[in-house]
Amino acid sequence: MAVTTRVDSKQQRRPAGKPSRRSRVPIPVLILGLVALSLMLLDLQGGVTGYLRQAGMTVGGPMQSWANSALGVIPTLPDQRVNTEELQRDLTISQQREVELQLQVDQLREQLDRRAVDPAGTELETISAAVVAAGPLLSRTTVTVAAGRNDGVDLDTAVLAGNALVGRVSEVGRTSSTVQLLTDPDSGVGVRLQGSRELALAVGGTDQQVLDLQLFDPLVDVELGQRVITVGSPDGRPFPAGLVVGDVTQINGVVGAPDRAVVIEPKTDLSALDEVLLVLPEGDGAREIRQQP
Amino acid sequence: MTPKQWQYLVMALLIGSAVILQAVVAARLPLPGPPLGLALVVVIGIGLAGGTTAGAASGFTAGLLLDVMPPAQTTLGISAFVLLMVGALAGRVTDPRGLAPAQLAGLTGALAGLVWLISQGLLWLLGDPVAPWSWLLWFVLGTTLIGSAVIPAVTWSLRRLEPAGRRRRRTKIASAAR
Repeated sequence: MAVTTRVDSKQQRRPAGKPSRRSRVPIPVLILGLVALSLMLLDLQGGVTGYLRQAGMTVGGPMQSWANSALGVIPTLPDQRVNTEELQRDLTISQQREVELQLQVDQLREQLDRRAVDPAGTELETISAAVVAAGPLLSRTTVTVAAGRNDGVDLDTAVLAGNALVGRVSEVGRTSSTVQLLTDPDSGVGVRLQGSRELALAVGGTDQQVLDLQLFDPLVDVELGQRVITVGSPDGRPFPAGLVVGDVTQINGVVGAPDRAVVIEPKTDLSALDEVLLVLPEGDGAREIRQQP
Repeated sequence: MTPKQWQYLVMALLIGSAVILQAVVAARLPLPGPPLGLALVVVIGIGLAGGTTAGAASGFTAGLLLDVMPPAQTTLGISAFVLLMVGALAGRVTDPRGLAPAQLAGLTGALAGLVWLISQGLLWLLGDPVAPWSWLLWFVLGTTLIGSAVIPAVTWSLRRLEPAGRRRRRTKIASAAR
């Protein structure tokens, strides 16, 4: 048999009864294993490991950006073809949506005697950044973008692509940052169903591709294809109000059933992001802010 | 530089580029399941060619880099621990040159499955989100596929740098310590 452990073959050579001088696992391996285990424990506590991550961000971010621009053509080539069609479709949809939203805002202004909740009409100040890397080993729900603190990006900055929300910045470096996508199991966004205006929470699903909608009121009617938009956080951080999250694509179970599962598909394909927009904080004069149309 | 130093340099370059390519290319390919384990197969290759200690050290390094570099968000040390184990296990194969392609594929698949199960177990223990079960299959399949191309290349390039007198024997860095 070709696959046998070396230790076995050594033991055959060693006279029986003579105690082994070396342990089965070499000492350096043991030490490294212990280091890895203690890193996990240290990271659970937080603190020291933050510096390690920052160092990784400072060194790794630019390297990924460089590698991405050096190899960029290879992974994005198949996407580009789809993108032009998708862009066309996005454009018409967003034009329709604009009209729709404007109508809704007007109606709201009239019906409720208060300020419109939905400031989707207001311009958000954004910068665009290239996506240079994705969650490397265990999950696909985080990406690196080539924009950081130097560009005015802050923790919890909302990230958009193709007119829809895709996630928020969860870690900032100097020239790059990590974006936690909506599909991340740790991600949760306060949302509203368009039409019925019911409130819900959109959390990352277990398959890391779609979102689960957790309705606050289990008796609410949900329709297939219904659009889901953000409620908005206080002061618009992390999430501004009125951004598209996705559409309801699947409803399992009947109204009122405790196990009713409503699935939302993100509007943008989160596994094929090329370029994203990061929403800059408003009225921040100290930073140089580039505005994108 | 001595052949040994050349070997270390090549290992470092292999690990560095595998870690970068894994995040920039492998993780962004539109494939089902988790990102392809490019760093994993490079570690297996180094383990097969270099022995237990070399495999473990390179696995630890690659894993730590993956853990620390953006956009990783899982608990620090998980990938380091898992890849260290895989590197060490691959280093225990006595006669890596005698491995038939099918045996190599089987070994890669088994190690990939092990990586997936142990890392998911650790994530679960540490309270981090766990991936769906179906991803185990995708991970094993994908890793085995790229492994059958990458591992022979890695072991071949490391053996080319083996000191001339030792190339005939089953040379491993670990055995030099004896």
